[in-house]
Amino acid sequence: MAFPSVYEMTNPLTTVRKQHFWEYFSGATLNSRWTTTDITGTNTFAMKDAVDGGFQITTGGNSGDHGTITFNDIRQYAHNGSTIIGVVKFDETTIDGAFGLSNSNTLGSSHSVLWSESVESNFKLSTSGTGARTETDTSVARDTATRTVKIVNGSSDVNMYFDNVLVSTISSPNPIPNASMQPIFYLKTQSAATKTGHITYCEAYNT
Amino acid sequence: MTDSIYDQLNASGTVAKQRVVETFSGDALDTDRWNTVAWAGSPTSGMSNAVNGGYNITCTSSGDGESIGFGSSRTNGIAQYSYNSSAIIFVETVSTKTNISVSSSGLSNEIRPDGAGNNASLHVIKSAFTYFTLRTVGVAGSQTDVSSSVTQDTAEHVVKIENKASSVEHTLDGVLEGISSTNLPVLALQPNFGIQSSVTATVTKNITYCEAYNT
Repeated sequence: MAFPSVYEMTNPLTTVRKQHFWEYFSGATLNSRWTTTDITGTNTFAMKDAVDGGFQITTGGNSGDHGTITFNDIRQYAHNGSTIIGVVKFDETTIDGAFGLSNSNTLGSSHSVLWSESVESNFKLSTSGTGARTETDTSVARDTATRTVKIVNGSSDVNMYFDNVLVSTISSPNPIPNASMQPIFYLKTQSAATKTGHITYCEAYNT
Repeated sequence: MTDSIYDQLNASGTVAKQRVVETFSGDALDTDRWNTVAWAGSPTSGMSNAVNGGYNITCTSSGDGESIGFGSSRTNGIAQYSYNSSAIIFVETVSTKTNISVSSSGLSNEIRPDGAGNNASLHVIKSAFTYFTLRTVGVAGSQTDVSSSVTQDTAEHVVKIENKASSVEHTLDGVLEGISSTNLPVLALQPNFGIQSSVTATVTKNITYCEAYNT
């Protein structure tokens, strides 16, 4: 049976839907809802002309160059009741990469993100907010595979899933987000060479 | 489980009709799709930096008014939705139920906040009204207002307006509240969200979702 509307795919008409967006990263250019930011160096932000190419960040060629796409600090997602889902791929392991929700467009305080760091063996769940930034291990070795990442921000914990399998949990009083957030996709090269990362889907919603 | 959104919205063997979904989330209004059309004064509008913030249109001076729609001016719209077989679903709120000359949301041939003009089916809020109201506007500007049983307030509501062959239905939070069968639109329509203040005070309309489709 078909749904009469997209609205009713996730909510009955008797329920007020909370903020909910999705992005396919398909088309000639990045949708204007996003802002690209060069945090260090000059990075390239562009749609990828390839099957399942999505959107690609290519860092500058100097070690430490990095950039993000965000909502330019328009923070519509709750720190204690939201979910973000993304399909992401980091093309090399000599990078730092992140995907998730963050208060800052530079991945500062109050965030919950997938964290891939060049000096680490495994992917991490990085959280900050109430207290210093903390990385929680996933036991999943860093690689260049395409993954579905889901991060669920609850009132007292954050859970991260890879391809629908729970890989990491952090609970208060450990650091969890404490302020409203926006989507973020972050890429940083840790060598004197350009590096790339892709995102082909992003969906965020308040719960 | 079906693999496609198409199959979740359309019965097997049917051709999908025009549909738009706007989530009003991001750093700016999607101006490839929407245009803001100032009606009077100097209202402001933009994405709201708040949880469930969506998009705001704010009036501060008496008579300020603004709408968003699919065109660059009041009469230069891209009207892709049928006057007699379409629906629009949206989530909206207003910051106050006083000081509003007119808040109008729904499908309209023109982009205007005042609930007037020609050819429209609208969810209307006015300080002069007690209840949320369905307004249909015919070809010559004649209007029919059908009052709902829901008292105007500042809470978020899910509103559905469905344009049928010989009537327009008004549903609030899943409950059918009103039907108009006179002064129905007879020209193609586009989404229209607008507000106009009646006094010098801050009046804001907020929208977090809009979906329009032909049936």
